[in-house]
Amino acid sequence: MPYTAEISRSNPSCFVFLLDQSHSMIDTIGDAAVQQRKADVVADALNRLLQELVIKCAKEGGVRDYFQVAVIGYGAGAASAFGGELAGRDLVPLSQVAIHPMQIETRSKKVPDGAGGLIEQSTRFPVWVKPVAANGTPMCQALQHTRRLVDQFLTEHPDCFPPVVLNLSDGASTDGDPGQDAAKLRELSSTDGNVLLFNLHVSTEGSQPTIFPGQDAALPADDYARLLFSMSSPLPAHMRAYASQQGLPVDDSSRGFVFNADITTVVQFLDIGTRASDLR
Amino acid sequence: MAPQRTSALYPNGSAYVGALQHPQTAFTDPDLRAGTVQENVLGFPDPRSGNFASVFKVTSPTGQWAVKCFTRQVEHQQQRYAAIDAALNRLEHAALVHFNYQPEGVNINGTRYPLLKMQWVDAQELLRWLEHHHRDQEKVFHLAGQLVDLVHALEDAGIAHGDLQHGNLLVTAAGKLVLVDYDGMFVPELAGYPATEKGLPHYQHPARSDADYGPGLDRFSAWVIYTSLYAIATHSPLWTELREPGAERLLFTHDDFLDPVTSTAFTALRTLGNTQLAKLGDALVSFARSPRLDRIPALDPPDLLGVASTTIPTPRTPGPDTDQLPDWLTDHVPQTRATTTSSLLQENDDHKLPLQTFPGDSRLMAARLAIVTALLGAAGGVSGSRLTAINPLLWYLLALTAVLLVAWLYTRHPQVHARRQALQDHHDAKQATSKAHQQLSGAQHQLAEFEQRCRQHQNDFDTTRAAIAQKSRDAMTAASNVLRAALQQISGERTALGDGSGMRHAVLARKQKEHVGYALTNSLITNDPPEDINTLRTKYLAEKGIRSAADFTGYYVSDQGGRGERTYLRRAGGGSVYVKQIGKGCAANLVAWRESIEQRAERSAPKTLTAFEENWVRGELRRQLDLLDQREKQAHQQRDGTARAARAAEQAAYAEQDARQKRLQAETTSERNNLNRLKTRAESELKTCRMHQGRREKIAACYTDITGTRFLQRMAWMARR
Ligand SMILES: Nc1ncnc2c1ncn2[C@@H]1O[C@H](COP(=O)(O)OP(=O)(O)OP(=O)(O)O)[C@@H](O)[C@H]1O
Repeated sequence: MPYTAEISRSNPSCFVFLLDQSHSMIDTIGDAAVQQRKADVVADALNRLLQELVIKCAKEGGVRDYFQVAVIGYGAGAASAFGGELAGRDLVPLSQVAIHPMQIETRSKKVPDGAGGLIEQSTRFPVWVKPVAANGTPMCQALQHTRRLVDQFLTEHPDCFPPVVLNLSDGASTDGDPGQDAAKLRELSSTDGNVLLFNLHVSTEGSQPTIFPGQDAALPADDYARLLFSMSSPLPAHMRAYASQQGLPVDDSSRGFVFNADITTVVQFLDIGTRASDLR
Repeated sequence: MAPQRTSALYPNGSAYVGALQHPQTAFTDPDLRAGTVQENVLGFPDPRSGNFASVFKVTSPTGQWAVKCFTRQVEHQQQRYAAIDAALNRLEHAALVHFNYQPEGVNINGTRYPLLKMQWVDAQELLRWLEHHHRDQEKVFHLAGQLVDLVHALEDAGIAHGDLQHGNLLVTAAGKLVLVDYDGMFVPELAGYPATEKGLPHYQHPARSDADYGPGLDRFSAWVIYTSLYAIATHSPLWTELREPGAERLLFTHDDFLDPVTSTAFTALRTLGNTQLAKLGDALVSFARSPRLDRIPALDPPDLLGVASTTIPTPRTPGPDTDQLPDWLTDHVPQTRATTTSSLLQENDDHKLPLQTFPGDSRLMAARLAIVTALLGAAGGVSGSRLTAINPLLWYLLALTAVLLVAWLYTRHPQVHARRQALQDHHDAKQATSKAHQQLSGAQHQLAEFEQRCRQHQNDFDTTRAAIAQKSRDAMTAASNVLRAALQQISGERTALGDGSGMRHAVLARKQKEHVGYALTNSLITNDPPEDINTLRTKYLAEKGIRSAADFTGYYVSDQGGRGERTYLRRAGGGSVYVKQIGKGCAANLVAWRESIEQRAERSAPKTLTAFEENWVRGELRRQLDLLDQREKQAHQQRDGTARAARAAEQAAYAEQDARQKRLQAETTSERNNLNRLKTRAESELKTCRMHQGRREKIAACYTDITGTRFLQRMAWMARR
């Protein structure tokens, strides 16, 4: 059965995050109350994904290298978007990612104090990438670069759980049709299954947030949404099973596509180690 | 963007890490609210995560707590934990931790989620512990002993952990074993609930399915862990020999259980020369082959210390003693008649499932009753009209109803249902296998096509290379031909020059010709007139430019088309001229005169070269030879230059080809790797499908006796009793 390979230190997998840093990401989304630049939204989502991955792999004795992680920003070109200690590096072992955020940010929000009132509370969270919004959207280039990274990784780890590529974008590629490059990327396979390409689409289109839609789902009336949906891999069976266990409406045709919603769930659906195959 | 809670999705790890930065608002338990959460190097709450939860350490006024926050929802979690709590409290085992389930224990963004507050166990996970202590035989044996004790206690209480594996077995600094993570635990009160998980495969029986949830759930895992610990204790190098560094398992992988014959681990256990170990391994193989979990015996190894002290690493020789199972095992491996390598390695039929029959239950009684009724009805129908007042049709109706009832009882019989299911499963498995087969041939075909393309590319390259080489050879040949022609020419010229005699002759000839010419020019007709050439004729001759013997060469006579003869003199410079009063006779005289002068001059002409001329000839000869040498050298140079250019062009063309080929090769290597991985994937898929099909086939075979005939026979048999 595909997508059943063990994720372990002796058989790690890899995660490549693609971060749209183009000029169009300067547009804001959200309702009148909460307006956010798309660049902030994706940077935020990415930082949360990284944090989630780190937490998921934290064990007794520290964070384990179950994954190698690359963050590729695309705008001026397509290159590592890591800041700080990790700047310029492509695939980095997760334990390194864990201890080298670029900085730690503090945000404050009002929370119930338990006595009927609200109190201001500040929460710290790690930041690996900063929002950027400039230049074009060379998504094809980013996908090609990713293909090289992933191909190399697969040569070294032929039996790994297939690499997961997570693209965070508004979809407006400026260097051609990314569909082709996406297909070439998904064609790569380990002995356990094809590379998984997931897309988080942030859009000013005020449509209903959507998580893992299938062929029948009403996609947002947005060409880019359709494009990114068609580029996304079908959800592997075990992820579908988890999704429906968690109450998400998924079916056989559901794809790893998320529209204006939280994509951190993807990490939640990953099994570290292996689980027996019936659940999948 | 705020996370969309479109479903009952539980908070993820980062949500907990965020919230737990403020225990006083995150927790509802006053004790935890007053606590501090352990932080990592970056100052964040420090989680330990599994696939279902993250565990944080909280130090509160009352002690140290492990707080488990759930990231995936589990059905009936609260009831489950209540039941587990009650069961474990009855048990009170030292290797178990107390916990307190708080259904609304933690507050994430205004929503409350459950948490589990446990005693914090200051311990290492089993694998980390073994990393440090696998060479310490006593410690490992001690741990194995604790495992046996714990497993017995759970077994006796009808409890199963459900996910017995290294991540849930902690070892304290004092070497005390602690079992954690009770999410998937079975306790008798939970009978009827579904399982929540199926455990880590490297510890699980191949046949464990979602439906397995009961007291025997841990038996196989317990044997796996015990055997691993025992093997490590008696032969610590196995720790590194059977595991890649960092592998998330003990000595066995799930594949070892699926295919014990090719398993390195089982082979190692058998061949180490430790009888006890070999037998443990063989027992595990036999358990792995059991088609059903519930047929595996509870962990019940022999006296540990006794075994420990008698670890005799003598080479294992097949003998009567090794063919016998130890007493403690004979009960557990009922059908393993002999544990010799060969017998165990054969795919044995020891685990043939029992043939299914119709149990003598109430359904059979009902069917019997119905049959009796039918017979009565039929009999009543035949005789009814005479014996009773009831319409025979009613009798027949009664009989028919009874027959229908039997049929209904048959089709609704759980065994029949089970048979249908088993056949369906077998059919599905067969289909899956054939699909996997197709996939594999697809992958193989793709690979073959690819290799064909590669060969084509290689051929193209070879052709291009051959063309390049040919072109260069052609250029060389052409240059050599040019050279050869030039050399021939030069050598001809050199031969012609020889020792200079040719040139010498030429010079002499020229000199003699000059001498003759000079004599002719100097012989003026006026000075020495030939016969018959008088002054007038001399004058006429002079008028026509003929003054000396050098001015004419001969004559001819023309009849002018019949108008009379006319004599013409041939001029020295070409052409002819008519001279008045010069007739045939005069012309002949003139020519004779000239010839006599010429002959005289020829006779008097010099016969040798002067020293000066000789010198000149020698110099000229040298110069000419030098020139030839030079031309020869140039010809060689020209050839060499052309050859060099051709070779350079060839090299450049090759280099270009090399670069192209290298690029292509990189691409093809990557593609070939990918296709090979796809093929491997299809192969293992097929293998799994086949194995699955085999199991399904065995199960289906058990139902050959579940037929209508058997049903009727069984009824009749019951009736006879
Ligand atoms: N009481 C405890 N004291 C100390 N550490 C603990 C305790 N309970 C759990 N842990 C640690 O937290 C880790 C994760 O906990 P647990 O296994 O309960 O989570 P899980 O999500 O159910 O994991 P799994 O994927 O194994 O089902 C454990 O491997 C262990 O290291």
